[in-house]
Amino acid sequence: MPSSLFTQFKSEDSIKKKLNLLFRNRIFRRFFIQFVFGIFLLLLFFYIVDKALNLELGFGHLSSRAGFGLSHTFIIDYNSNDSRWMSYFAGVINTIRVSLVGIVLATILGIFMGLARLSHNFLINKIATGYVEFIRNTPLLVQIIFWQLLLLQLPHISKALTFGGLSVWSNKGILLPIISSNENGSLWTLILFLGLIISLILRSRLFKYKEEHVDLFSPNLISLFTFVAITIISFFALSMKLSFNVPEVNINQYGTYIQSGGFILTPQFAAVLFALVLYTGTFITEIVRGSIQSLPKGQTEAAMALGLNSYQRITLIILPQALRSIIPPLTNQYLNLTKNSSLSVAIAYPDLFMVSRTIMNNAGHALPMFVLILITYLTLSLVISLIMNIINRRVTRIGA
Amino acid sequence: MMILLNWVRENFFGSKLDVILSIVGAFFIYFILSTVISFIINSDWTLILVNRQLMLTGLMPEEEIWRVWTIFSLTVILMTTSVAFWFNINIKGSIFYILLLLMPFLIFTTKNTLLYVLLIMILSIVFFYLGYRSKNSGLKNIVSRVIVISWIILLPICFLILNILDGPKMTLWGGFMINLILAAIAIFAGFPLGILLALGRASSYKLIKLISTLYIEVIRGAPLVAWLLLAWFVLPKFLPNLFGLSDLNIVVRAMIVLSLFASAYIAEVIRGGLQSIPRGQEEASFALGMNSISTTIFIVLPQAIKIVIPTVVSTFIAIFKDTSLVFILAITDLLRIGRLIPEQQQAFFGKSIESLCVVALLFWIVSLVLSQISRNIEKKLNI
Amino acid sequence: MKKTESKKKLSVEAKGVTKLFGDFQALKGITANIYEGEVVVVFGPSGSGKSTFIRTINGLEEHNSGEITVNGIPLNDDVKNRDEIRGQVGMVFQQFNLFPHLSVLRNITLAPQKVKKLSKSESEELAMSLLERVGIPEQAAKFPTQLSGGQQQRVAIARALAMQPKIMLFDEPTSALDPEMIKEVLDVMIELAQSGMTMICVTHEMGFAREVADRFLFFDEGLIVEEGTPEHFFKNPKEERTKLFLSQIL
Repeated sequence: MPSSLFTQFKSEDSIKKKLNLLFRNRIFRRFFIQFVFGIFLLLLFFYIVDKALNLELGFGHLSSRAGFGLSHTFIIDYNSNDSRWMSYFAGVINTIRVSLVGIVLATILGIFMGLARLSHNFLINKIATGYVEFIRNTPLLVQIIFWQLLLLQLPHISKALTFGGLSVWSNKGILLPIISSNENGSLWTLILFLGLIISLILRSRLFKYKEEHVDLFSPNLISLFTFVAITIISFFALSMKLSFNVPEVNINQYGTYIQSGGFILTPQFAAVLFALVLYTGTFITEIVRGSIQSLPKGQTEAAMALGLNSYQRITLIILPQALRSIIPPLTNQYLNLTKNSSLSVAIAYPDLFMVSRTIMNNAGHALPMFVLILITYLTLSLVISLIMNIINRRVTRIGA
Repeated sequence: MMILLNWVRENFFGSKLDVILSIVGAFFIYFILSTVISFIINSDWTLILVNRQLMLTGLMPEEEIWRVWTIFSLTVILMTTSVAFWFNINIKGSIFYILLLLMPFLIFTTKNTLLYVLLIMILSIVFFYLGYRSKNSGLKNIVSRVIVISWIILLPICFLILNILDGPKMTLWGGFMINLILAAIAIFAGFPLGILLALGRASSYKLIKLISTLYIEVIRGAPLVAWLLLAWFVLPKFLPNLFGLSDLNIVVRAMIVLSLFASAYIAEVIRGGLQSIPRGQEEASFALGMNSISTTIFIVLPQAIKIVIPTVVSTFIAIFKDTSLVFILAITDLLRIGRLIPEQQQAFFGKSIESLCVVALLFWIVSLVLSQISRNIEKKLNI
Repeated sequence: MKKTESKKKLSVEAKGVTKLFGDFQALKGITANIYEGEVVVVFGPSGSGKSTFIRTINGLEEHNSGEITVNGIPLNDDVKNRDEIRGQVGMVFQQFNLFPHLSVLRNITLAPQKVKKLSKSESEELAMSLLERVGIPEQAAKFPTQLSGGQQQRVAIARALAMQPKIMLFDEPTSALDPEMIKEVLDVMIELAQSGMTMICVTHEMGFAREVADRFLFFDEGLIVEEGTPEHFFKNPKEERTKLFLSQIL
């Protein structure tokens, strides 16, 4: 803007007039408002820091011995002699575990239910509607407790329900068969994961290459071959052994029942998982339904006119387009699910929040613990958002 | 008859897949229904009868219950009047609402309070009728204003009634009542705060925008239980020593945290609304000579809020459901009581699922009513 | 109606006005004088800066350099100046920009009540007389979405007039209208011009322009390429670009 702040002053003007002119200046006003706000903020800040210094700060207590055991540990071995950092880390793994599985299952459920909500079949439609209305309006916490109670109603292990020798259901949990391996199992899984990423990168590179040069044989085939090759080579290189592990229940020398083998879904983990999946599933259902309904009707009509059957119509025409508007709200639901996993504190599934609370109860230092919790959840949210963002960009790329 | 058959055929047996789905669906419904019905029939529901008061009002002493009844009656009467006045209800709708209101009464009345309950029901019907009639009469504007003002002063009056004449300590408040009160406070306090935050985040003043964004993202970054725990451990240390603020009881601290938490989510919803208002609206207002504040209050905000009402109401419902999380602060809300009854009362030992079902039902009814209201408002605004 | 320039007051004075949008220079130095009672029509290809120019006059766009003076008041950082100018300048937009949540009457009475502190009855009286002037007094209680485009734009004109401006700016007022509704809006604008209002119109309606304009301003690529009377433009435009553009639209 042309006239500068101070040149509009004439020397003979009184202070009062100068001040008046100053306050009428647009730029000064903006500065002044933010200045006052800033002062207020600074005062608040000093007050908070002053009070905070009276509290126990610092994370040193996390290096000392934890002194408590955890009912669920996964991937790492943890016992009460490890440091509190380890216990926290175990908690984080538990959170990731239930959140990851929850996200996958909830999405599948949500997509199916979303399609069911739009179905012409009266029964299926009403079942889906009933599902959404019932589950959505009940607090998640109530549902978690409900599932836990339900699972605890399963018979005592001595009279456990077995299904064809493959699965054992009791109030200690649900045992499922699993493919297990020798000690190199996790390493091999890691290599498989890397191999998948390598193959996918290879695939996209090959596609780009294919555009500029003479026809290559299918990049899909080449990358698939690469992946399979990596799998097989590493399998033998690590002398992997895979076996189908079937759960068993035996009585040991003291007369207690021991479960062995297989993969156990404890009542706590299962309760949190089921509740999260069903609850988040309702929101995903509505998101899927909403974005399919917002597609122009002409799409369905054109697909039907082309003679595509229901399945083709949905997978080739409807879903890909609906994906564009699904991803942002879906990301939001994933973040909600991850944060909601903190409710497992109510039934003693040791997610990161519950472990933090135990540490807080044992060693105080509430504020640093809380900052740690905040940072952890923010990081998890960030990771999920980033991944979904990449997917979003791929999906909304014109001509993808 | 033919029409019915055709409809059945189309909707149940449209294609081969449909047939399979219908059969599977039928089995599924049969399975669920039979389990649920047999459960309902075979369970002992006396636990509700015995613990009615406990579930509704927590540990409130018997002699103070009249306060709760007063608040309840006032709220019910105000609600029926509002519904009659503002909503276009046909016979079907009226019956639905009346039945819905009857249910809690039926469950929770005792012989002593029967007269009281009948009085409330009669008063509600009277006010319903009055509201309905005044909708088209000349008193419309006055009645409208009276109703709005009544709603605004309802919450303070409830507090007054609860505390007047040496009322019971706040820590004795419990049960469903406290879920409702916490939700009401969180919404009443969170809504204006949310508006300010949304305006702040959309503002062109960089500092204000930064702080608002920071606040919103940090609050949304952690789960509610974590923030509530903060209220327990950390908040007392930060409160100033004046006015005895540092000794705030846990219920008030929970209210503070819930309000701050709600404001962040409400802010995001309103921000969505603000963003969808075309710039031309602001420009027209400025061209007419109105300043920023007037433009925001009279032009931008009303339109933004109107657009996002459905989402805002579903946020309110979520806040209400989130009040169950105060168990972590040892506040005896409905859910906590529902869990404790089977553990602490000999007679109902092991009846956890029945207890939980009642809890779920109460939450469910309120959420359902709120979402019905939201749908009604949506329909009304689209006219 | 032709007026002579010599004895008239200067309404809007622009000297060397520039406006930058990021990298794009929308106005490269506009100098123009508009006199009281004049009707000036601004035209040119899209992107030439004509809308930007009139939006700088009431401060909706901040000019980067140069001076703008409206009725003797300089348009600068002084908030009071800017508000005073806005009180004397009314604007009608291409998209009408009526407030959809307010009734037609309230649309018109809002600003007079809030800014000029008129009472409810005063503002409503004013509003009704303006609605009569634009020909639709019966629509007062309706809401903007219930009106046709032509009616909405007329309400927009009435709303702007309610602030009793000395200058009216029109930014392509008929471009968003269906053809059959253009005439009713142009009629109002013609009546306004004949009543002596100072008007600056950005428009493509050459018939209207020819009838009421005292002067034309031809914009291209951020500069005024040519200005003069309507006759001058239609009979012998000087610049090549002017000739090209005129040949495209006439």
